[in-house]
Amino acid sequence: MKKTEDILERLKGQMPQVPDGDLLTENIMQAITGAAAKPGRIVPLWLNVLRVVSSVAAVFLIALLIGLKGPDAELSENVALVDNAEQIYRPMATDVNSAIRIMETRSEKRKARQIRQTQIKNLYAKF
Amino acid sequence: MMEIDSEIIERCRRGETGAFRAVVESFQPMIYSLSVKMLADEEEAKDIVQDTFIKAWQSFSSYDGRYSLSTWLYTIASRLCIDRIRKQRFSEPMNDDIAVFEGYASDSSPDRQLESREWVSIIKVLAQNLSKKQRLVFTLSQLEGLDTEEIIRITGMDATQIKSNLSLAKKSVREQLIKLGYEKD
Repeated sequence: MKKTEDILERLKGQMPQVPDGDLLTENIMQAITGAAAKPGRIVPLWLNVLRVVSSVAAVFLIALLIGLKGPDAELSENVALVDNAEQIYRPMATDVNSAIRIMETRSEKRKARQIRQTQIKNLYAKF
Repeated sequence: MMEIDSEIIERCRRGETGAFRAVVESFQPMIYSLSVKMLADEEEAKDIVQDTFIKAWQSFSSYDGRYSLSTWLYTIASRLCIDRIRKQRFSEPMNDDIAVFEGYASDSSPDRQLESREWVSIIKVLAQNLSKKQRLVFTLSQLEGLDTEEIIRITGMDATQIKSNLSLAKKSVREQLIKLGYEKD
């Protein structure tokens, strides 16, 4: 039997043939000419920083715009909608009794609207 | 270690694919040799060769001309091999692998060149119990025949780490050979 060192020494520096070496070379050349015609350039650090900062600024601006349009604007829109609805469907009085009923109804509606607005304000105040 | 004309390197830096083809053709056997000995798998080794040259092309601008191109390519390939080893488990050597090894060990002709598939079998037999670092140092030093300075540049280990990993690797390989019935030195 041979000694282990002899076996290891014989293995040293031997280089196996590449199976289909030409095909492998072509694959490599296709990969580099297809995806990138030029060697990759190192992107400067300042450019990466600029990209991050501009992204953060864009997100901040969008958040700011949404915030400005937020609770108060929505509340005003809701109140305006209720007022418009009442104006559109306001009934006409034909005699004294019906005029009194209509006034009572309006008074109740006004109270209800005030309560509703207070509720909406309280709701938004929670947020 | 294999070297290449500095003019070809400059042309590669300028992005000339024709010059890079010369690099691929010159260094492909070297990178394949390292990869097949590290991974004991011909197809995986070819993948590493391809990935190494693509990575080299993409980052040619970062190549430090003070060191040889072969060292730089060996470094890229070594890292890719280590990454691949982290993700895969080595298969145990089969009877066929042991038969290939015994055939080589009993062959008296000193200049016998091994086929790629024979290398796969021999590595499976010899290096099955080696850690990643031991395998890398053993391959670069014992099988590729590189000197310690070169291995330091490629692996980033210091001389002491290289010495201890190589010593442990050789011990493991010897134990493996003794198990198979080969004489201790």
